[in-house]
Formats: sequence, structure tokens, C-alpha cells
Amino acid sequence: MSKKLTTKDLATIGIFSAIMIVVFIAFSMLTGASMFFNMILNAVFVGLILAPFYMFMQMKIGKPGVAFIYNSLHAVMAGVFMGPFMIPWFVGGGILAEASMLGDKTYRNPKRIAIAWIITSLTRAAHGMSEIWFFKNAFIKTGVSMEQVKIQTRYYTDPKWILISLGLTVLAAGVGSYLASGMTRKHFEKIGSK
Amino acid sequence: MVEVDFRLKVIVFLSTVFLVTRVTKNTVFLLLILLLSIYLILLGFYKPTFKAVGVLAFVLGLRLISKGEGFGFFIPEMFLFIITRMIGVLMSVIPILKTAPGEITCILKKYRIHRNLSLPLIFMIRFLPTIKYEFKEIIDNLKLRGLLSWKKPLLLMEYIFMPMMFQAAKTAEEIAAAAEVRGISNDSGYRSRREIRFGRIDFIGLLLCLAGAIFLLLLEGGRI
Repeated sequence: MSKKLTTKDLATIGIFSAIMIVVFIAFSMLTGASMFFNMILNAVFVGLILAPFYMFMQMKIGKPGVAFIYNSLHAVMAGVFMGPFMIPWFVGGGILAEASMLGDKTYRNPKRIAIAWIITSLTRAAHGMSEIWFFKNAFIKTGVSMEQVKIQTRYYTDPKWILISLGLTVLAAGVGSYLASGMTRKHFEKIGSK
Repeated sequence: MVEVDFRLKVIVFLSTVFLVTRVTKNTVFLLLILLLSIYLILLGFYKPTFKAVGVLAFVLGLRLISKGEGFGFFIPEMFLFIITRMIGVLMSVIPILKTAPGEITCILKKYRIHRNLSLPLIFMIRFLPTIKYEFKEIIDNLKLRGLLSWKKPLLLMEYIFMPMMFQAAKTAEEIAAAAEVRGISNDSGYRSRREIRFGRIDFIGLLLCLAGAIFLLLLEGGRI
């Protein structure tokens, strides 16, 4: 089987990315009222909820490039909505996620997909932190309120909250991948879609 | 109804994102919404314009009632503020989402964006507006069968997500097949039925967009 991504593969990535973005936005709108939840727990729950879509997308395509393209699409969206300084962050996350999939017959391996999803989720969870750690000046220039910067700085420079947020994200993305793997096996393996 | 080039729509969108993050005064923001409403109405998007303005009026009403204090923990002022700003951005993104995929494909090919990035982006834009209806259909089916219950959230997640994934996979195959038939994989130059040209109307639109942005920024800075 050719490792080159076909139009069908690219359509699958595009459509699944669209679903994941909509679910992410809907979830963020529902929970967005709480600044604390948004900063510390949003990525945790998103890592859990979106895992089935990511797992299925990877399983269905089973070729190199999915993790990188998915994260690059995220980078484009983040670049437009948050500022261009966020693009390298998400692209970097995509490169790491793609690197974690390297190997022979690894692109349909649930464990490898779970690792790529954990890296992707961590990139998302830490993007707010990166705004404070590495891009603070650029972040302030986007016109964000000083109140928000102050709250973000308080939480994202406190090792306790950073560990809680990132630790829970790893756990949730791992549990999400485990559940997703079970779901995929249950619904797709027999009919040969896997 | 006016038809404009995709690139102008992107310029308007980026200008709006820029302005939304810069503007702090309510009057200036409302002027931006007025300009965006005119832009959308000129492009023929009547219904989305009225919907967006209606939601904005509701949220602004909430902000007025709460006297800028919000409604405690569940609806803080910052949340209402972010929603008002997001409505502005959403208004500017509508024309982009409604652009024919063929036109976007042609422009991305023109700028030599790699197909591994451009095609997913096109399929994503094409599919975004329909996702709401796909989910609604699944939830309605679950309601009819009496399966919509929060007692077992993981099972509910499975009931909602699995049909969605089946449907998405099927749609991906259909869209890909349609795109192949239209020659999307043909490397010998892609052509669109539509003329991809930054015409006179687009130049006027660009000038108006720049003038509007500068005017709003001057107003924001108190120089007018």
C-alpha cells in the first residue's frame, strides 16, 4: 500500500478536523464562563472527548502525516485567531506527534496513536502557558486585557497548577485513547473498516 | 447582491480579528458591527446578519442589566465580553465559509500551497457549516429511541460519536470521489469555472476595508 496520502485520506483529515473543532468550540462555549476551568481543565476534557475522533481518523488512514497535518490545521486556526506567534508552537507539537508515530506498522497501533494524541493534547494544554512563558510581549500586543494576563501569569507560573493541568491532560488523553481504542475495535474491526 | 474575490473576504476577516483585539470602546465596536452588517447584507447574507445582530443585542442587554458586573460565577462579565467579540469575528468568517470549494481550491493552487495542507483545509471549510445539522439529526434519533440520558455519560458519548464518525467517513469518501471526478489530483494545472481575479469591486472593497479599519482605530485612539 502506498504511503502517499490520497484525496480520500485528506478529505478524512479535513472532515474529522472540522468535527473536532466544532466539538471543541461547543465545549469551550459551554464551560467558557469559568476562567479557571478554561485555563486548567479545558484541555483535559477536550483530550478525553476528542480522542475517539482522533483514534478513528488515524486508524482509518494508517499512513504517515496525519498527526502533523491535523496539528498544522490547528496552527493555522491558532495563527488567525490568537496571533501568528502561535503557529510555530502548534507546528512544533505536530512534528513531535508525527515523530512519535515513526516506525514500521505503527500507524495503526493504538498505543502509538495514544502517544501522538497525548502529545497533541499537551500542545493544546500548554499553549496558554507558552503565551506567558515565551510570547508574553506578542500576546499582550494582541489586545488581551491586563486582567486576563495577570490571571494567566498567576496560574501558569505556579508549578503546582502547571503540573495539575499537564498531568491531568496526559491522564485524560490516555484514558480517552483507551476508550476510543475499545470503541473502534467494537464497531469497526469486524466489518474491516480498521 | 455583490460578488467579491475570496482574497478580499480573507482580508476583511483578518482586519476584523485585528480590530476586535484592539477595540475597547463599545461605540467603536458597535460601529465595527454596523460596517460588518453592511458588508454581509451587500454580499446577500441577510439571515445570518440578523441572527448575529440579534444574539449580540441579547448579550449586550445582559451586560447592561448586570451593569458590567456579569452574573456571578456562571456568567462572568469576561465571558459576556468574549462572546460579543466572537460574534464580530464570526460575522466576518461567514462569507469565507460560504465560498464555493472550487474557488478556494483554485486560489490555494495559485499560491502553490501544498495539497496535503490545502485539501484538508478546503474539506474542513466545506464541511464546517453542516456539522451542526449532523449532530442534531443524531441527537433527535436518540431522543426518539429514548436513549438520550446523562445517567451513563460514556455510553451517551458513544451513541453520539459513533454515528457521527460513520457519517463523516462516508461523507469523506463521497466528497473525495466527487473531487477526483472533477480532476483535483490532476497535476497539469487546475482551472475553475469561476474567474479568479481581483477586480475593480475588490479593489474598492479593499480600500473601504482599509479606510474603515483606520477610521475605527483613530476613533479608538480618540483622534477623531
